[in-house]
Amino acid sequence: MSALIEIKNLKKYFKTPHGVLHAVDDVSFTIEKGKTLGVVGESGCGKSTLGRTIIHLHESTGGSIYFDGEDVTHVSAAKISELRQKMQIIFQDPYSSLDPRMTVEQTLKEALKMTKRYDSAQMEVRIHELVELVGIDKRMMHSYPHELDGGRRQRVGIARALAMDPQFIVCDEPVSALDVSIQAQVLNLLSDLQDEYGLTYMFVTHDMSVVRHISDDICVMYLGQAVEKSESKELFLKPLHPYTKALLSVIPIPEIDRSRKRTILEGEIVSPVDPKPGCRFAARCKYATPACSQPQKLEEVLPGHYVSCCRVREINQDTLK
Amino acid sequence: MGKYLIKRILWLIPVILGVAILIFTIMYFVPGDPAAIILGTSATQQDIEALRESMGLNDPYIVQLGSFLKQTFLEFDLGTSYVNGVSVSKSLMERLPQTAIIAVISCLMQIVVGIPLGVTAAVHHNKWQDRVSVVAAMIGISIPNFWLAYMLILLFSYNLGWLPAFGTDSWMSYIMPCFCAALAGMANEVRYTRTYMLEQIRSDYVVTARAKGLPERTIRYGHALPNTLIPLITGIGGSLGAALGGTVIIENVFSIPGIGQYMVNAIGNRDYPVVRGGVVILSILFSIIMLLVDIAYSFIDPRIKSQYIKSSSKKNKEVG
Repeated sequence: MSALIEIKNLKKYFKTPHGVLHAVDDVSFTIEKGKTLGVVGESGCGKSTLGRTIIHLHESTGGSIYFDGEDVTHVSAAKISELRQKMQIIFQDPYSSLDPRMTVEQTLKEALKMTKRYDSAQMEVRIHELVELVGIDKRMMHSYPHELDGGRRQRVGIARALAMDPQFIVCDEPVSALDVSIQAQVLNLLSDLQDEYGLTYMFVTHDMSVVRHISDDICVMYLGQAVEKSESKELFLKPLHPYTKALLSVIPIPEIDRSRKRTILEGEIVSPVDPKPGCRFAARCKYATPACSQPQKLEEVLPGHYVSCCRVREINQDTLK
Repeated sequence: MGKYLIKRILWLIPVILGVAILIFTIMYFVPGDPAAIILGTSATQQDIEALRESMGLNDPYIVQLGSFLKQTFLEFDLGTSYVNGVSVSKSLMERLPQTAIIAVISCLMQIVVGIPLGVTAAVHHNKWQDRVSVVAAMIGISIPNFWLAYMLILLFSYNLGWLPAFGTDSWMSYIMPCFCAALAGMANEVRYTRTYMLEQIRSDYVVTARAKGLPERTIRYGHALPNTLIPLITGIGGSLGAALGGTVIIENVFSIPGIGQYMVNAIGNRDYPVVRGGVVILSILFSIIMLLVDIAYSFIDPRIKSQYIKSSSKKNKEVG
């Protein structure tokens, strides 16, 4: 297995009137071909920005991005166009991410034209193929987005991303705007497509149950930084970072008799604008000590399990024994 | 589409009838006696009373209204002016071209100048192009058009002698009036276009278009601009309709015999046939423009067009 996506110390800062907003701060990870990396974290932790930076919808501020071994951190506009055919994105909001003036067919056709690989007859065939692949009725091909329901629209969004035959897709909260029943359908569709085409996903979400269902590896983010990275099963079994523990403790369990202690986080989120060095979670962490104001490093605590917390060994004595 | 058009045209009938009844009623209740105005201050009460009787002004409201409607809509006769005895339709037809030229040209100027400037401003949001357009638009809106008119006359007619100061003798005479009439509209158009365009540029489907790898030009002019045009067309239709009513100030300053001047004088003189006839004709013109705007929608917005086609071809509207 080789890494399809590798990012090293990726940074994305935004200038705001109040200071520099550190949306993504020094994040590194690799995603292997055909695997799914789940990126989880609460709203505003920079997970969407991370995804968009990787596929060059934002220009990165620092660090590097490798696609299939090739450094694609700083590339020309022409090269970006080319990269878009290999790296695609599925957006969160299926309502606003489709041009309201274009039918399903036109939306797909526009994407296909960009590849310059199809003549008009082939394009017709390919559109039918795509529509069938994502499970939209053929009769809906000439419908406008406002005539479709949320699930169907998201299927159009998926078909659109697939149109270019990408190897890598950033799924930016693709199901959070959908009903639960439709969420399951769309998630299943995504994993079927992965099996069939060997797609590599980066799955951005705030929903722990969703990420558990679909990810091979998980990266937990807090305010622009990766706080814990591990294989999916391992992470759910042995969450080591205090923030991850809190996240996992609030997943609802559909069993009436079982009760579980929830960790409710106290305190305010620190502002991502001009953050102080040190652990950004410290302000809300019950284990915080003065040492936490020193810069933290991701550290391999267990094989393949990285945590960014200077007290991780003290806190998890039982688990780590 | 054809069915829809016929429906829309039929709807014009009650609208125009309503306007006619309304304007008749307003004029009926407005104080002031046309007979007294026609005869002047030296007339005796008997003379005025006799004239009122012969003009039919003493008839009950409903009788007068009935004869007005019958004359206008069945005999297609707008009557003659109380003041100078000239046929109203003839006077209107003489004056309409001047007004229409100014209205249409200033409207075109709004489109040709306002929309591109607004798009430029939005595309270069917060850069110098944007700042210049916004400031220019503010100035354009703030300048009173009568002041601008006199300043232009002073510069181009009096000092430079390039353009005629008044009248309608050649196409040159229309340059200054059209510009004055268009300036505020152009400035508004810049602001509207900028706002709508910015809204579209920030929307998610533009990010989608970018993710497709489309060139920035296609994103702007293929996706964002067409979605911006829909609200803009509505505004332009309205301002064209209003401009057809004539701009009294511009017509007065440049001595252009247009509708605006004619109507305002008629209202002052209680010249009922002129006011009524003018309003009826203008309401017909306005309705036709609005109809054209609605038809334009269906070309600009394929969703609306598809509705016509779908609703006429099959009855079931919603699918799921």
